[in-house]
Amino acid sequence: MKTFSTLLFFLLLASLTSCAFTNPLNTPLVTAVDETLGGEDKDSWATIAAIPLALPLGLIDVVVVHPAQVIDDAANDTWDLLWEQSVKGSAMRSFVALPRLALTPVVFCGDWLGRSLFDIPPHGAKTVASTKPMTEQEREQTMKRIAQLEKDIIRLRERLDSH
Amino acid sequence: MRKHNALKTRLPELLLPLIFLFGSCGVLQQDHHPTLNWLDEQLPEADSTVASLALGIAILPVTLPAGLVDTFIANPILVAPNAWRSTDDLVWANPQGTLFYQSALFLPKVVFTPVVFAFTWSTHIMLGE
Repeated sequence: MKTFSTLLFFLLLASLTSCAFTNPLNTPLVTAVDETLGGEDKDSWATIAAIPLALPLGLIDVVVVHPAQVIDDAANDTWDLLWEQSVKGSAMRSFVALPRLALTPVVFCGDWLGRSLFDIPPHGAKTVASTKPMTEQEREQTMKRIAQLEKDIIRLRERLDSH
Repeated sequence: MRKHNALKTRLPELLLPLIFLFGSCGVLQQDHHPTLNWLDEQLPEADSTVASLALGIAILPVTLPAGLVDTFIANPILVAPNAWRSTDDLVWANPQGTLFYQSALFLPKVVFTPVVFAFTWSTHIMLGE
């Protein structure tokens, strides 16, 4: 019973501190159900009947789905921060690998926690908003991100059409 | 229980070197790790990722002590003159005011010099130049 209460407390705490839930993109289950029910334009009996589903779906989004969504962003951030920069020399590389290895789980966990709790733009998204001219690498990253978003949109459209 | 208490009392002793190790980013600068630079000159450069990884693991018993020497001894010694120059700039350079005013400030400046030096030295150790 005590374990259950503690778990419930942490779930509530996670959902309350989770500013990430303010962005509909970070709550895909709630958004999907909301869209299926007709969104803001349509308040039907089905919407009222589905209200009990909102809280559990929101909790699943906040505690499971969104943290799972941002794993790749946290991994990419960790890679950029610790591993992206090349180190000159075999001996230096060998020595630097130890702090890099030790810090990898720390940085990853911190980044993942931050991204799970707060609405942080996806990895590489800030380069899109930048006013500076893009480098070739940034352009490539942005193109990849656009391709990924296009795929997501197509998948969402297919899901909506199938309903 | 006694072992746990002993670990608790020794925690700062164990943590400080670790904080120092991870905070000494200045050692990553090219001229601030002479022992590792010397080793780099002696060792071959691997031509593939796998070879680089294997070489990195194989030479770890040599590179680890070398890196620790660079982190805890070489880098702090190398940045000490810069830290002293920074301290000099902050505390002693460009004295302003009358001779009487400077005389009054002399003792506080002497007292603050080691404090400011400790701060600038640790900053140079962390950030390099």
